[in-house]
Amino acid sequence: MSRLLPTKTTVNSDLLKRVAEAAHSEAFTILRTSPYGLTVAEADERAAEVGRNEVAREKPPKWYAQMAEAFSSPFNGLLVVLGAVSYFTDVRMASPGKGDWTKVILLTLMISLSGLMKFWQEFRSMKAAEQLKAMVRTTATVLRRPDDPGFQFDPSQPPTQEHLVKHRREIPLADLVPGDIVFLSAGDMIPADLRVLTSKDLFVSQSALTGESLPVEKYDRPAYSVGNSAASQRGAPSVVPVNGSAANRRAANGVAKNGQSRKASGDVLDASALCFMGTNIVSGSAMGVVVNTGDRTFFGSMASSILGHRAMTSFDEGVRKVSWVLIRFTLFMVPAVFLINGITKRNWTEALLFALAVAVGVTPELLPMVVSANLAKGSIKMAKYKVIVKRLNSIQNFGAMDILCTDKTGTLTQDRVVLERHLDVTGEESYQVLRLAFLNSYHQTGLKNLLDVAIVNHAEVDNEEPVLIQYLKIDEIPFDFMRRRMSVIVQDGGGRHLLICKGAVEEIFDVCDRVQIGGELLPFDPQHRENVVRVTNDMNEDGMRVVAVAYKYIEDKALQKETYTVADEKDLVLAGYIEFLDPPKETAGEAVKALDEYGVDVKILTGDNELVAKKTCRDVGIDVRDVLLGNQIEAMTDEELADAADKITVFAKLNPLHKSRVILALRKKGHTVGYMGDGINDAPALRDADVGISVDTAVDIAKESADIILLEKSLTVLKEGVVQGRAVFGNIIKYIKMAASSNFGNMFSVLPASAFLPFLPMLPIQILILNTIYDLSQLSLPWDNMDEEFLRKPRKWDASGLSRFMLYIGPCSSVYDLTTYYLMWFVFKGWVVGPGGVFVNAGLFQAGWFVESMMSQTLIIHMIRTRKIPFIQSTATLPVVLVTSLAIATVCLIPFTALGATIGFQPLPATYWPYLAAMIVCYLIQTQMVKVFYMKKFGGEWL
Amino acid sequence: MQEEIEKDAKQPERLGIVGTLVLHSQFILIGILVIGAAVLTILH
Repeated sequence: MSRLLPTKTTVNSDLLKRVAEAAHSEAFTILRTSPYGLTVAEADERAAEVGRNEVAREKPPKWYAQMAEAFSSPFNGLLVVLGAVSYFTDVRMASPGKGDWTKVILLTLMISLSGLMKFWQEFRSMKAAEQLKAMVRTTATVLRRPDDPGFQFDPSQPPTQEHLVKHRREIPLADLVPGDIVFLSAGDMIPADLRVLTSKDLFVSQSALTGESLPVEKYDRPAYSVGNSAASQRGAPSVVPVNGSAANRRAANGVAKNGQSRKASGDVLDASALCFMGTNIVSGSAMGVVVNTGDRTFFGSMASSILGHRAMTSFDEGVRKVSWVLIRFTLFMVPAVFLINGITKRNWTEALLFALAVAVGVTPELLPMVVSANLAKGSIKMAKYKVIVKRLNSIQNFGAMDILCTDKTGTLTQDRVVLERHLDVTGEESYQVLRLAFLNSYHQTGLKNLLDVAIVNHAEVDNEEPVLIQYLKIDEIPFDFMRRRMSVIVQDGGGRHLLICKGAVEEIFDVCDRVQIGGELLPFDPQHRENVVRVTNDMNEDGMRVVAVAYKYIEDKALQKETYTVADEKDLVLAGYIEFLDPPKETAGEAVKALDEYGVDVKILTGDNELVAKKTCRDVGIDVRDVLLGNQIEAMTDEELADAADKITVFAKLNPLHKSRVILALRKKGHTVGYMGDGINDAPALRDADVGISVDTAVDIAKESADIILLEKSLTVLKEGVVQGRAVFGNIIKYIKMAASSNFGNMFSVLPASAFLPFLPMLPIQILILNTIYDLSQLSLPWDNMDEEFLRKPRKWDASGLSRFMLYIGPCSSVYDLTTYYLMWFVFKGWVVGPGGVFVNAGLFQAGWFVESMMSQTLIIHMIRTRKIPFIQSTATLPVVLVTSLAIATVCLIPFTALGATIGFQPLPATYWPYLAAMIVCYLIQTQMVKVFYMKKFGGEWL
Repeated sequence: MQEEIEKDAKQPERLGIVGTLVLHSQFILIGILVIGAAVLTILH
């Protein structure tokens, strides 16, 4: 994949290179900082100098840019043209003293109104979205030096472990400044461009910047990878992760070996000592110093168009298709209307303006606004249920979702793992096991999961605190999802190194060759293995999560090291297990049932073993037909997996890639798949799902990959989200179907009128006024509700039914448009010609159609919005009823006002209204009947 | 639930003569009105 290049010059590559090549002390001097970081006051000063750590392209556009955008629509363009023409014909070319400004003022008002409405609606939507985003907190862990002037420190000496622990603090990401010292661990998003100071098995995914899908190792070895091979000889790393085993692991895991293979490229992105904003930590931990923040970062300097691009969803694609269908109609209509009117009326200027006004009338210029207003409205409503929508379009996918895959822990189960028992291999209580587990959990600095927290917080651990004094931490081998275990190495009072490894049972068994029974160490032979498997299986069947604990002493000084690696996790002694209870949530069963009622199947994708997963599923009422395991998935082709995934509800012992494969397989089967997870191992699945759902407490990369963030980790709120998603989708599709069918109907009305009438059926200005009022009434649509039946099923965008819908429903209104022409021509004497060959009742004719057209177009909203009988079985919400009624009332009154007279209307006689009422009643009855038979013929299809 | 949804989805029905006429009534009426206008224009 090609890598992206910065488009602005603001990215300070030279500074990055200089800092990358420098030794620590030099780097601190360049960045005017120290290993102890900055004080709060210094940081504030720098923030004032360089600005907040925010990327400009992520900031909302300024109000005036949005205002300009709101006014630059084809609709407004046409109004400006008409305004200019009116200015010349009515004002400039009028006889002196007889200039008429009315039309010009009217058109200016219309431009202002439509532009301001659009601006206001979009501005509000965006503000709401911004506020919602701000509710999802992103923080960085920094080291800040105490402000106390009495605090003495030696900048040439690194701070002690105690100092690091005491003075680290969480601050909002935007408050980071160059010179800050930051702590990073697995799952973190890199908060700025930074230079690595210390690292431990740090693997970073730079795919967002380079397209490189494999993680690269980052470590404090300055220089050579930025193109200066000589410099690589300088500056020995303070921690040296690149040793035999790390290299082996890279080879085994297919990790790109950063720097060396690309050292000739001279590309700053390849610098091993630099981490870049926008990338994320796959595994390991590190400490680094911030070099560039905000727009000065590599990420911030990139073209927003490239980086901000996301694949079109089926919904975007659908909206685009609809727009094109309507544009094609317009392209057909405008020339046809122009030619027919030009030929029949012999006034080509008027014919052109009329054709353009018709074009405006049939253009659904509100579509983008209706879509964004609906999405914004939906997201605000969802926020009330503590569901934050990060990407607005995903609301629609939320409604379309028919399968929800979820991680087990914390969603079905309480986010409160409790350490139940600490047992030796025979199943007897053992304090030694607790002590070992405590040392391991306490000292590990990587991703602290719920199990570590449960161990450290365990009540009995209080008695174990003295243990901390007896042992000195030497090193750790961080957790990763391939090994599914992690180790900590400590030194005891006797100078012996003790490696304590804890992790998934099978993975620990693989590295054990002895087992501790009582005080004895026995070989871990198949018989023992069988026994311990039986003990752990029993625990699992009771719904307990089991973590095995193993250890080994490294007494030989020659074998003791400062840095240990995965290769040292061998020849261990199995000490026992820690048993955790992860109780199911009380609401989980209810939530699963509710989702099922709304057509969403819940599937469990867990890294846990099948016994625990099954037990939890049984507890919450998920039907466990079969379980598919990670290793079985590996043996399957994509097609086999797709078939299996459709039927199976529980997937256990999965690694992150398995989760992704299951999601993709389900999507391939035509499902809209949601995925809910909060761990670093969930990130790929969150990205691959149609809707990625995470929680506020999730790791950064999970939150970054998700489309929707729950402020509460609960399935109950998901049902509300699904319902909202469907309601939003319903309101959008309502507008689209209405706009498409009513525009198509207008075409049927305008063409015969153009052909048969000796004057225009409606003047351009009249069409535009009608259009403006109609559009304003449509703005109420996001406030409409949907029938309960509609909300009960997943709703997926399918553009195929749209043309059919247009074809059948659109012409219904044309029947009554044509009837109105007959009425106005024959009954209200539209044919009467006065002196000079003028049709004296043309204004009456136009007023008659103006009112009828508005009524039929507006009432179709009520017909289309429901499958039921409108007003009797299903009524729109009050705002929609009020606004549409107001619009109709306004249009009915206009012909009687001075404004009406100015734009060429004549007041309608009292005898017109009974005819109109009869026509409207017939129209509603006919449309309802067509609707009923349409649904019968097309398998119940409506919205 | 998936099976239920599929089961729930109504099968397209064959419409009788009345149903077909109603479903297409708008085209029939437009046709009559346009032809009427054409005839009247010619007669006029």
